[in-house]
Amino acid sequence: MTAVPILSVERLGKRFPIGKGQSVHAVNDVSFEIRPGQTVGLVGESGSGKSTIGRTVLRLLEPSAGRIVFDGQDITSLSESGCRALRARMQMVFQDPWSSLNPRHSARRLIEEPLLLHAKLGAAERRARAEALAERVHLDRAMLDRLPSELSGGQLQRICVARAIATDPKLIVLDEPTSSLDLSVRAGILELLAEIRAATGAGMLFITHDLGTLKLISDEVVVLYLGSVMERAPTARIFEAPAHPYTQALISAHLSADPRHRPERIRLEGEIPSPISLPPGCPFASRCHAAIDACRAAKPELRPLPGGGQAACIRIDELNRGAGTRA
Amino acid sequence: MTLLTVENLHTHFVSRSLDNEIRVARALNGVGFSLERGRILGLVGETGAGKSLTALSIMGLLKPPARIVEGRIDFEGRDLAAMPPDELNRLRGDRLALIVQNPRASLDPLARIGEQLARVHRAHRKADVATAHRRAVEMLAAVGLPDPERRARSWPHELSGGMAQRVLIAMALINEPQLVIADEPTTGLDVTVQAQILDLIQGMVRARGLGAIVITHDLGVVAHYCDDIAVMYAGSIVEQGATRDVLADPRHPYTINLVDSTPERLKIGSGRVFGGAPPNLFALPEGCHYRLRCPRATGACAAPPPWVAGVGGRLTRCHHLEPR
Amino acid sequence: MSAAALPPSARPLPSRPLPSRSLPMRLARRVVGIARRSPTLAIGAGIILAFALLAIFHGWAMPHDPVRAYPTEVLKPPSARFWFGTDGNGMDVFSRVIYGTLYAFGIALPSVAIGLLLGVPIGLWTGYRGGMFDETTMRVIDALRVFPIIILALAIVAATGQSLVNVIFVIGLIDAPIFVRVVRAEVLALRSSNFVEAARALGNPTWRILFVHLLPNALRGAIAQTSVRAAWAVRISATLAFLGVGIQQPTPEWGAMIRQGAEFIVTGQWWVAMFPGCALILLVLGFNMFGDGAQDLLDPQRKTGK
Repeated sequence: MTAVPILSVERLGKRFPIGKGQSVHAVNDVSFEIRPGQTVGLVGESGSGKSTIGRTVLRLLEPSAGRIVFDGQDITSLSESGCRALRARMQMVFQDPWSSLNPRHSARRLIEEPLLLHAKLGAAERRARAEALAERVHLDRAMLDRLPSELSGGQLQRICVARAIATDPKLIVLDEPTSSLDLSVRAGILELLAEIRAATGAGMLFITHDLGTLKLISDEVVVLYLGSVMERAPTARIFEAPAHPYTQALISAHLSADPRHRPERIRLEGEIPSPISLPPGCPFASRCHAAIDACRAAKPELRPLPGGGQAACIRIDELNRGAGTRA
Repeated sequence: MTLLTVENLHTHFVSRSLDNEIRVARALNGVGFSLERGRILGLVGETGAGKSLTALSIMGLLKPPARIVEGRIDFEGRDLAAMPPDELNRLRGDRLALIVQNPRASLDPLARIGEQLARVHRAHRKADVATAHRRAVEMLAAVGLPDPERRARSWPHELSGGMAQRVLIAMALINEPQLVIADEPTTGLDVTVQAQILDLIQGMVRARGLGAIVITHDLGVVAHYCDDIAVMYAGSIVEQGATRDVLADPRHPYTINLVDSTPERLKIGSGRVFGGAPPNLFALPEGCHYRLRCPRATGACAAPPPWVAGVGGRLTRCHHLEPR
Repeated sequence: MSAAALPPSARPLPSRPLPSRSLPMRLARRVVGIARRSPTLAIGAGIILAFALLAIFHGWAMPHDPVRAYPTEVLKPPSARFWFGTDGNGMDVFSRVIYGTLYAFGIALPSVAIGLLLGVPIGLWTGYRGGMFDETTMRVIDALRVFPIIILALAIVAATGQSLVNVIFVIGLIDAPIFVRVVRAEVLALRSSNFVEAARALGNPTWRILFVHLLPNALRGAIAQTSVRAAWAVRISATLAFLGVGIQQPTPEWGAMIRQGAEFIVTGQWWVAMFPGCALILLVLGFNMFGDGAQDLLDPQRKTGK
C-alpha cells in the first residue's frame, strides 16, 4: 500500500457566500488520499459536507482553500477547459439515476456520450464499444434502445456506471450511488462496483450516509461532521473500535437488520451548531457526552490512534483507554 | 385484542392511455393481515410492492384512478372499505392517523405549529381555543420537543427535519387514535435522529395500547421496532409472522433474497442475490407473482401458491414449502 | 393518485405498444385517446384545422373574388348569392372572410416563428449564464413590459412604415421577451438538475450542454406558449388594422374589414363587421384552447392547480 496516491486532498475548504459578508462553511480543513484500487468511504449525516467534497474534488465546484492533487498534477486552480480534458480520467456516479440522465436520450446514446467527448472513434467503433460497456455492467442489449423512463432504477444506475467507466478513469467519485435503490438492486450495484474496481484498479471515493454499505465496499472510512473530519481509519478498525465519540454514536445508531444485534445506543442531545457561524472549538462539542471546556476553546487537530487511523479529539486517549482494555 | 383486520384487499388503477386503451394496474392483489392492540406491524417490500397503497386504502385516501375493487377492512367492527367518505373523514385524524414521509411538506407553512395542532384537535373534539392550545402544547411536550410553549409559537420553516417529524407525530396522536400508520417515518432523516423518532412511536404504542403499522424498506427499522412483519411483493403479502422468526429464518424465496441483500448478510461476489426490475403491475404473471424472478420456480408456480403454516403462527405463500 | 404523483421509483414502467396493429389504426387510437384526455385540446385543434383547410383551399371555397366590387350590390344583406352579404364597396363578405384566414395565418405563423427564433436562444443563454447579462436582459424586458403593448406596437409600426412585413416583425419582436421568460424559467430549473451536472462531470463543453442537454428539455413551455402567442398575433394584427395602422382597405384582412364594417353598424348593416369578427373570435379561441390543452397535457400537475 505504498503506491503513489491517485488523489490527495490537503486541507480542503469550501465556503458558500450567502451575502452580507457571511458564508456557509461547508467543508473545513479536510485531508485524505486515495491510492489506485483503493476505495475510501466518506460518511456523514446531512450537512456534513460529504457531497460538496466529492464535487469539489472533481472541480465541479471551486475549492475555497487547500490543495487537490490528482494523478501527480495540482488541479486546485486548473482552468475550465483544463478540467474538461481531465474528466476523461475522473468520473462521477450520482445518487438518483432517474434524474441524472437526460430523459430524451436512449441508453445507447447515453453510454456513447463519454466516448464521443473523449475518444476519437468512428461511429461503428463507438457503437461496438458502447455495447461492450453495456455487457460489462450486465445491461441487456435489448435495453439499449430504450429511454430512461422505460428502464428501472437498477438498469439506469448500470447505465451511469457504464458512462463513468467508459474512458477508463483513474478515479471514480460515487455520490450515494445505492441510496435510492431497492435492497436487492442495491446489492447488485455493489457487486458491480466491486467487480469494476478489481478489473480496472481505479480509485474510488464512495460517499454515503449508510455505514452498512461502507463496511462492504470501502478500505478506509473518513467520518465527517459539519464539514470537518472526526475520524479517519481503516474500515475494520472503525467498525470494531470506533474511537471518536461521534463515530461511536453514529455506529450505535445504525439499525442492523439482525434483530439479535442490539448495541447500546448513544443518544445525542443538544443543538447542532449553524454552519454559518461555527464555534471556535470542536464542532461536535455541543452534542458530545464527553465534552469539557477545553473542547470548546480550540479546534482539535487529527491525532494518530494506536490501532491505526486518526481522530480529531483532544480526549481521545483517556476516552479509549477503557475501550482498549475491553477490546 | 384485534384492532384491524384486512381481508383479501384488491386495489387497482384503472386508466386510459393516450392510445385510448383501458389499462389496469393491479397494484394490490388480495392483501390480508390483522393487527393487535399494543403491537407494531412492519410492512416491508420493494418498489411497486404496494406498501403505501395499502396504507392509503385503509385510510380511505385513494384518489382516482386508484380504487378498492374487492376486500374488507375491518376496524373496530366496521368495514372501512364500504364506509361512506363523510363518515371515514370523521374517523381520520380521530380514530385513525397517518404519519407521512415528508414532514415539512405536510405542514401548513402559513400557520404556527400550535395553531395547526389545535386545529386538528378542534376538528374532532368540542374544545374552545384555549383548551385546544393547551392540549397542543401538552402533545408537543409528549413527543419530546424541548420548550413546547415556545415551539407552539414557531413556524414550520423554523423546524429541523427531525423536529418537523415530531410535530407530525404529535398531530397524529393529539386525538388519541386507535390505529396509527407511519409511512416511511424516518426516511430522509439522519440516523442519529431516526432512532429518537422510532423510540417515540414505539413508546406511544406501548403506553396507550394503540396499534401501529410502520411502512419501511429498511429491514433494520423492522428488526428493532416491529413485533410482526409482513413482506409484500407485487401487491400481495408473501410471508408474515413474528419479526424475530422471519428475519432469523426467512422461508419465502423473496424474503430470503431480501434478507440476503441487507449489508449485514450480503457477501460481495457470492452471486446469491437476485435483483430485477420492479414487477410490471399491468402484466403480472398468473399464479405466483414472484416466479419470473424466483430461483426455485417450477411449472407448479403457474397456479396460485398456498399459504403454508410455520412455527409461531408464521405464514408463507409458496408452492415449495412443507408445513412445520 | 395518478401515475405522475407517484415517486419516480414507483411509477409503473410503460409497456411498448403492441406491434401487431397497423399504423393508421394506432394513429386513430392515439387521436381518440388524446381527445378523451383533453377535450379542450381536441376542440382547439379542430377549429385551427378547419381554418387551416379554408386557408389552403381558399380557391375552391370562395364563391367570388374577394376584391371584386359589384357596384350595384353595395351593402346587400346576406342572401343566397352573397351568403354573408356585401360590404361598402360591394365586395362579397363571405369570400373576404375566407381570404382573411390567409392573412391571419400568414401573420401569426411567421411572427411567432420570429419570436421563437429570437427569444429561445436569448432565454437559453441568460438562464444558463446568469450574472450581469441575465440581469441586464431581464431589466430591459421588464422595462418593455411597462409599456402598454398596443401603444408600443402602434408606435413601432407607425415609425417603420405600414407594410405587412413590418407588422410581422413588430409582433415577433414583442413576442420574443415572452419566449425569453418561458425558456429562461425552464433553464433555471434545469440548470441545477442532476443530469446537467452529470453532463458537466462527463466533460461536456458548454455548447453541448446548452444545445444537446438543456434546449430539448427546456422547450416544453415555449411550445405550449406558441399557440397562445399565435392567438395573440391574430388579435393584435387585427387590432392594428382596425386602428388603421398596418394593413389597409380593401385588403381582405379581418381587422380592416371590421374597421370598415363598424361604420355601418349604426345604420343597421351589421353583417359587414359581424362575420369577420366571428371568424376572428373563433380562430383566437381555437389557438387559445389548443395552447391551454397542450399545456395541461404536457404538464399534468398544472391542471390540478387551476
